Amino acid sequence: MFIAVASGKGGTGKTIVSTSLALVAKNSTYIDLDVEEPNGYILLKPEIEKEIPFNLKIPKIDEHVCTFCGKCADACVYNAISIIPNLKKTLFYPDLCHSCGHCTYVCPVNGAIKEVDREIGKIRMGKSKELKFIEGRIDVGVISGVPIISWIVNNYIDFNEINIVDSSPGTSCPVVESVKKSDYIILVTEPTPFGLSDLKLAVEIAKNMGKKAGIIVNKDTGIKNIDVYAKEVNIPILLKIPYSIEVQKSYSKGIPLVEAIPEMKGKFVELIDKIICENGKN
Amino acid sequence: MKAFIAVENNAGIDSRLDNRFARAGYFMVYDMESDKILSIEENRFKNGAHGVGIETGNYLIKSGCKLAIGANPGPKAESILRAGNIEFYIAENCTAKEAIERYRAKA
Repeated sequence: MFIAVASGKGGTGKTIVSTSLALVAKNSTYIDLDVEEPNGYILLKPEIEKEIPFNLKIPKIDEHVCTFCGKCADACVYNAISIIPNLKKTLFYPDLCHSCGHCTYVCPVNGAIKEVDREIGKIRMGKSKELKFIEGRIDVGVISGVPIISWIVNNYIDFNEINIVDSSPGTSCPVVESVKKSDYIILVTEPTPFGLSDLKLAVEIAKNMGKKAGIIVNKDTGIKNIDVYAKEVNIPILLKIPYSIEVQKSYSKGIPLVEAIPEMKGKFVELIDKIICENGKN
Repeated sequence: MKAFIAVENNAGIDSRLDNRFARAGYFMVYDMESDKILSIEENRFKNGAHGVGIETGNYLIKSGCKLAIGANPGPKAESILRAGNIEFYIAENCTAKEAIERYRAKA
């Protein structure tokens, strides 16, 4: 079972929700795929057992062997290579490279392009009591987190267990990659115009991908804009987390919601049971 | 010497310089010796998502021009201009003709 927690708008409480769900679910794994700034570890305080560098292949051009024909630069659809034949110079822009290998493939000269590793981030694994913890993290300055997200989803998730994925905010490629293999998407939002506007985009993603989804309203003030929309698109509101000083205080101290507020624990237990019962294979 | 001029529109020597270099509307190749426009082509890279500076830079290198005239280039286009030893003359708010005159007056 793979439950993805996404949001659309940032700062709505994906991490509060995903850590809480992971803590109340039995034998679960919390997977932080908000790789630009993973923060689930602050609440879960896992003991890290393994840290694995994550590498991508990039071309390294040997200017002693290269004939400066420019075929690699022409072939690169991401414009990551520039060749200056008359001065026998090559320029490479690693941030634009998508590691597709096309340059190496089209190069007519044996040994002119070698594929070498470029570390773009790390995968950390550990345990927080019974809970398994996995986190992807890209280095500062790395433009796309998609490769590391995709690698974790395809290689580190045991689909026979309960996996709670904390995705990045927004509705772009990293989010799509994080929710691609999910069985259910929880969309966390807040009852503000921005919260609603971005929720609509996130709902579109879920619908386009043919995923079942439910909404959690965080910082609930009693404003009904989300309720009205949810009814319109026929998506259930699973839970409302009140806009309260207690919730904020526990978060700022790094205490997970379900540990700080016992009443919320009960609600999250009910919620995870319901989702597993209605959608799960376990 | 051939000059690569990043212009906004296609109006011959009176084309206005674009306020962007790599994403300019048109690229003019101008022969400084014979004072003739060799070509004006629409910039097919201008709406690209990433690496437009590099595409334009590569295109410029292939054109064989040794001088580029236009708005301030972005960092990637600039890196190619530097690596290719292309002379750069920054000009704005004028036509191609005026920019060439200013370049000559300065030189």
